[in-house]
Amino acid sequence: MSPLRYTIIALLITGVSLVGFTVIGSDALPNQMPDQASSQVPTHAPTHAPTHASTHAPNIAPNPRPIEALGSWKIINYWSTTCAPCRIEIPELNLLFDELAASNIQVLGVNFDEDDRKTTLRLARRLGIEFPTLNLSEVEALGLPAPSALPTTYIVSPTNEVLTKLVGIQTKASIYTLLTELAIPH
Amino acid sequence: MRSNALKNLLQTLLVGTLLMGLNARAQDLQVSMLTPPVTDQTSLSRVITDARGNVHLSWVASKDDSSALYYATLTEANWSPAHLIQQGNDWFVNWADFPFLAVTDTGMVAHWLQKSADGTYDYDINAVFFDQEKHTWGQPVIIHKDGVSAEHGFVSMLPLGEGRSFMTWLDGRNTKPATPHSGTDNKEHTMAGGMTLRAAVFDRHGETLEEWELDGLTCDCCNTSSAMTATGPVVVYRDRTEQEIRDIYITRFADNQWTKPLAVSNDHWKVPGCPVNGPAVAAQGHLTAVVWFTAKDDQPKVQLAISNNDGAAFGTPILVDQGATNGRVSMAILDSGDIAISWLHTNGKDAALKVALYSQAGKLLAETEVAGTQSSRRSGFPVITSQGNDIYVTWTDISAGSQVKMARVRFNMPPVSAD
Repeated sequence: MSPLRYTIIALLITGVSLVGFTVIGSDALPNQMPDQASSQVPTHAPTHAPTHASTHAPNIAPNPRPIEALGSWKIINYWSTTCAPCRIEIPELNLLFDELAASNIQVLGVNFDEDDRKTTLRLARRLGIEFPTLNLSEVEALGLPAPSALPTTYIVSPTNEVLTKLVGIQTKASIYTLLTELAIPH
Repeated sequence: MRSNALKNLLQTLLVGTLLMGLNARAQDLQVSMLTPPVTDQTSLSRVITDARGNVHLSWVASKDDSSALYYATLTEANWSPAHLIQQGNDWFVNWADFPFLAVTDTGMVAHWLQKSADGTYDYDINAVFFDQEKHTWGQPVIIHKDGVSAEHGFVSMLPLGEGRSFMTWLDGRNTKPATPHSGTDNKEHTMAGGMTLRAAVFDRHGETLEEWELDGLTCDCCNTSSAMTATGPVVVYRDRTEQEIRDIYITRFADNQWTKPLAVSNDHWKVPGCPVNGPAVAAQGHLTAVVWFTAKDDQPKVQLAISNNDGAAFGTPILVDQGATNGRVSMAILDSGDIAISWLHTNGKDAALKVALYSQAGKLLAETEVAGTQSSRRSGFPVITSQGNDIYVTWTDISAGSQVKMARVRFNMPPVSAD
């Protein structure tokens, strides 16, 4: 018998056993409290969603307000009111927003905390953010990976490919340097 | 060739047997959805167990700019009505920094964050203390006495004896610049000092009995966690070094003083930002366990470390999950001494709220998905507590609006902590 057959047989035995145990394990639950709606262990099978930036432009048609920035280079900054370093870099990003206004590079913000739109815009004003803040649909359409730390700034291509992820406080100068290194016209 | 084939067969059977063993144990695991008295537009829930074994759920209900903190108690199979603790229009409401409720032997204490009058993003920790005899909540008190308009939050609480309570929090009193912000010179925007970790003991009326600074430089926006060991309280938090290493540290109250903070594990996660992802600690006797999220080299992991000497030293970290996780951990220890952990396992924008049970020796005993949820910050930090050998889990369901959910996970298995 070939090694492949040994392995296939072993996997089949294991698989059948696992199915058997799983079926046993999903029996109706005893000992329910009177005020409980019982549920079995869910067999939740989430639909796939990108965990990293796609190299293709997302379908933005359903967006209520397609962002002007799509089709351009983007500097996308995640901020939060609980993030002190975020507040430090905001004036630098504001300057960048002003200076790049005539270029094909957009400076955009994302409220990491995902507050509702009204709260987000109010917080953005309080933090002195002068660049546009994306709404949840726009963020979802871009398919950016959620940052694992704040502040995080992504440099994103016109096709919404993440070119660089910058974690920590950025300055206008550091981003200009990076734009030059990436040969992004500014 | 034949020996290799046999080796493959044996390896496959071994893995299969191990999986079957785990699954066989998992068949004894039951997840039951509960129906606490929560309404729609609720979030920021937390669940705790008091010394008498009652389970208490706290949550925040929001409407427009108004927020209200509630709690309800599960006694055996019955829920109390929802009780209002406090409400306001000037709260700082954040998915990662949310109220705590603790039940002492003479009452309760709860906190929320209230915006400072002068700051644009500053907030204070307000707390109220419940007098069991008078059956009323006292007047709110600000638990930190610095008087500085800055960030204060990420509270954890423990009940102490004689009506006292212990609280830890992140305190931004040193972060205010000596000179006002002006111009674009980055030096002028540099913070004056770092975020600090502080702790205090309060009496039943909210008077501060003792207060300490536990660490003079910590991560800015990760929750703290505390537990009571056989020898005293321990506090676990995300540290920050001058080199921006943000690993999980522990400090213990021993011999009437706080020990020098030590790393639970030297992950060496260097990150010049805040992960917004704090650790959780639980203790029972000398057993102390910590679970945390780390992402060195952009590789997300949830890890568990176990100590048998009140947190003085921990064993090698045990990998709970990696790759597809965004952390948001919680922890509890069962009466059996087994260690329960919850965390989010992610799949793009979707996530699974997972619960796993480990023996004191670090052996995985059971694992299940309690509910499907979302990776979004709006789904919040799930929290677990233990009651006997059951686990109670709470989280926020954002599939349609925002509503607090709660489930019980029952492990019907013999104790195996000696494994």
